[in-house]
Amino acid sequence: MPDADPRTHEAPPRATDAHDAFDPHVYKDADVVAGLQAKIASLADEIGRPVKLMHICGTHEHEMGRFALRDLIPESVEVLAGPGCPVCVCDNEYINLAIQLSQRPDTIVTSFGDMLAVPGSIPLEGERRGDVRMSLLDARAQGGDVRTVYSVFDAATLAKENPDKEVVFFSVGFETTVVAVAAMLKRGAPDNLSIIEANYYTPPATNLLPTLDGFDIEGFILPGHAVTITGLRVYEHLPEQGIACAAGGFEPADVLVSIVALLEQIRDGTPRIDNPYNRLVKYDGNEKAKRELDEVFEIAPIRWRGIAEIPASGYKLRPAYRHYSATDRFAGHLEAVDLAGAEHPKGCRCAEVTLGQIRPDECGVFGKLCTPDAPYGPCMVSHEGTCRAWYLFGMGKEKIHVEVA
Amino acid sequence: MCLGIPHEVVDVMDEDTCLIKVGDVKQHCFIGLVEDLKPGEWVVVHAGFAIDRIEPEEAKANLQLIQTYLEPETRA
Repeated sequence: MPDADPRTHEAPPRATDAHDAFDPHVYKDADVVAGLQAKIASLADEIGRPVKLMHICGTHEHEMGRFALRDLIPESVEVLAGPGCPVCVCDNEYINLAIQLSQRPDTIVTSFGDMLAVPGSIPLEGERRGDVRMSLLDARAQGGDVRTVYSVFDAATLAKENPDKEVVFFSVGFETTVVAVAAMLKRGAPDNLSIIEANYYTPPATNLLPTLDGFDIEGFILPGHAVTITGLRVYEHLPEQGIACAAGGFEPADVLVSIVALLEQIRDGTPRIDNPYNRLVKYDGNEKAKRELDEVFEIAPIRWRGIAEIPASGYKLRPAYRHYSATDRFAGHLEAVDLAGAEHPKGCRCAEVTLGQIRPDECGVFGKLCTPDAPYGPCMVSHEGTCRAWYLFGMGKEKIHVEVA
Repeated sequence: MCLGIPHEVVDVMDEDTCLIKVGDVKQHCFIGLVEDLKPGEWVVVHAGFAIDRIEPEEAKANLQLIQTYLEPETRA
């Protein structure tokens, strides 16, 4: 077998099964991407008026920046970022709870790296300008035991290794992430592990968006990995309201083909749910994952930061699993935090960015008070955050000419 | 946050655990939500667990579907 190419660290194709094995790189193929680019341009011409599309997945925003996909599509087709970053919509209540728990003795608070830097609503005394609030990283700097984990399984391992401590997993995420928590709890978790239930379910939020003033989105790129779990049926309310839908994967060809699918539906006036990511997404999702999710969690109302409390848009542990709830376990042991103040720090416009109502560069603190090194609001923290992606990839600057090669 | 990356399964340890190939290293992955996985199959991994498998035939069909979007007349 020949050596891997040292420049790309990618193994060469194997001669024996080259025709059968799955190859993720074909979805970056320059000819396919260039073909889709031309197709989008001709559809935009046929439609002949500006069209607004929205994706609702932080990874879509990240990949649109990383591959400069907005520079491949005409001005008349605008792709906006919707509420697709769980870290950005995670309510202050949960961040404050995690910070308070990290300050208890013999308690380890764990979460994904992104979540640790998001400010909640507890003020932070210090030299930084503005309405600076405390994050879990600040809590760690003040002596709290806060650790980054890659998965809920790592948190469970940590709990087994530290039987004399309470280990709290700050479970932030959408349906894709929650299902792992369900699977882990169902298979038996250590008693000293508990979960902060900041778990969000996307379809009710997409149901809310069309009711907002000034909503003019004609098509949704559905989040490819969330719908891998839930399936596409749960989005049928969108075409019923006249909104085009397509399940979107994350490689350049996947994102562009979902835009083609949406533009075709808009041109023909036939809103439906297309599935151009069908190598992974099934119309009814992953049945086993859905069963386990439903066994451990039930649907409940939850507050989306900067948006509202949305009915039936969150996951709470069912009664049989409530002893794993950090909220229940530590109830009465913590001081109440006043949540009456502004959800976001003064001057931060994350709420409007999250709803696609403004672009990040329309926010006064973007790139000034608020940068990835010193994030002021949540959308600048997460790798999935719209503001961070715009800052990192220079989106919002003038369009650049991109050669597909 | 629903970042998912396709990885190849290199070894299946039990019905809930496998090793996946990540660049030049192997990493543990929870596979309890995907049934009957075998080494050589591909899974999409999100935060330490496989959300589903990718069958080579489905991938091929998907690529063909993408091609049909370039020629709308050929698609039903």
